[in-house]
Amino acid sequence: MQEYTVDMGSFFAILISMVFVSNFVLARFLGLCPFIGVTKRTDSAFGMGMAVTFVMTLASAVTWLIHRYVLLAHSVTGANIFVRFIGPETSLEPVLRTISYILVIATLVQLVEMFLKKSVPALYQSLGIFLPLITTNCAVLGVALLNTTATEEVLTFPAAVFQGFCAGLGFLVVMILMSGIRERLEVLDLPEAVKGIPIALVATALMALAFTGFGGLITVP
Amino acid sequence: MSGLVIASVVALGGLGVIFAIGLALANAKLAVHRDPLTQEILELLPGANCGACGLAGCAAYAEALAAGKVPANLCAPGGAELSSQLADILGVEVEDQEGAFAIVHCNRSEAKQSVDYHGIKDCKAALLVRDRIYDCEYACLGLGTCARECPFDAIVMSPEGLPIIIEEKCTACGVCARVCPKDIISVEKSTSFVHIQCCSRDKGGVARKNCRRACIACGRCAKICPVDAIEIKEFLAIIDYEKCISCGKCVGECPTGAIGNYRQMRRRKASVA
Repeated sequence: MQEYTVDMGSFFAILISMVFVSNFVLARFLGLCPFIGVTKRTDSAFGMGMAVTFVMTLASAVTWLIHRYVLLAHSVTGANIFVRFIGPETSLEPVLRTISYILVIATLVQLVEMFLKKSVPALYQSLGIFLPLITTNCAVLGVALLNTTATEEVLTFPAAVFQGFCAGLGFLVVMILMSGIRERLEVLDLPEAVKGIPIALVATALMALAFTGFGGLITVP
Repeated sequence: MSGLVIASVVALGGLGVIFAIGLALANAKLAVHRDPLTQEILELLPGANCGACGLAGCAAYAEALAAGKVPANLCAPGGAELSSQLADILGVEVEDQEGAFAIVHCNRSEAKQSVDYHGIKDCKAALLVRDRIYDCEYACLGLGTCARECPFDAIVMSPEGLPIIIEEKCTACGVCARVCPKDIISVEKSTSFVHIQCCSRDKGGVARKNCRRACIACGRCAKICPVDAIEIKEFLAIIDYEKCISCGKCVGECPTGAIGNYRQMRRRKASVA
């Protein structure tokens, strides 16, 4: 199995790529539900961004381990723990990939929810339903799939975790930018029909256009 | 083939069990012991999260109440009725809570606008551009931030652009007083009927030039007051509500009509009701 060589350059490329070039919200259009839902105020947008970053980072780590030690065929990795039952050539990946990733994400979201309920109840209140909805946030599943299946080669463990973290960071940056814009939009004298979410979507489209400007910044290997 | 099925089931089941154990452990460590009393109190509270109690919202007040840290009569929107209910639940005595209303300390009728403002209709936004809209630096900007922020819709803007407090709806939560960037609104007890309707700290001549209803700091109100409740500070008459007996003598004495008597207005409303 081929792996990326781990050097600072490729980590920097991952950072720039995940935060700007192929930002999850504005370039891949994943995770739009919390993006529109929780960006009314900066503090809750920040909290949501941090929660998603946390879930993405941990989910990247756990799903990478599952992918390598449970899903991939033994003949590819030499590390499948079920090799005795399924033989070296069979891969569980096509059967169990999505469902096991969702299991991981749901567990992590539960963990975050417990943690926030205990330590930051005010944030827990303001995030409301959007906190458990991180479970179904396609951006989190997206980063897990991207880490393990997007390319022929598989990322190394540190690179995968870093990629998850940077994807969360990109989400956080966009959430904060958007909440700033929406706090401004709030006081504008707008026609009734475009107040709230419509004008937020227009702003999103313009931001996405602006983010395409990062397009040629780096070439992802 | 059956190997694949068994391996899938075992793999997924195993993951599920591992995660379940992890969550159970985390739950034991991070469990929140929510007092059922807190929940009960929270359901009684109005839920406006206005902050009149001085805590971060209804949930915070409910928690503090259940812990016995705060008195039960802090909720202005709930009023006396709520505090007696809370007292029943908590098994404590509460002191009577007096009603109160928000009072607007500006009455700039016929005041001239010094600028024609067409920006964002929000007092705070307007203040970023210029420190005043009317000639008087202290005057109400009239853009209705208080009316929009009022959680009980108890403020309407008059045609002249002055906030009018609808006292039937006002719960004295004080949100308007906090959001007003000119500090024109204050919350005073409902037993006080006489209020200075100006907050100009300009010298008498300047104040008079800017607004016909301004306090010109002549001091006649202070002289006539039988209980010495009025004092002129920074060219503005200030009523000490602890001393004031709401006799209303100063109202007639004021040459510019800057002192308002709310007694008749409230009595009229009471008789209509």
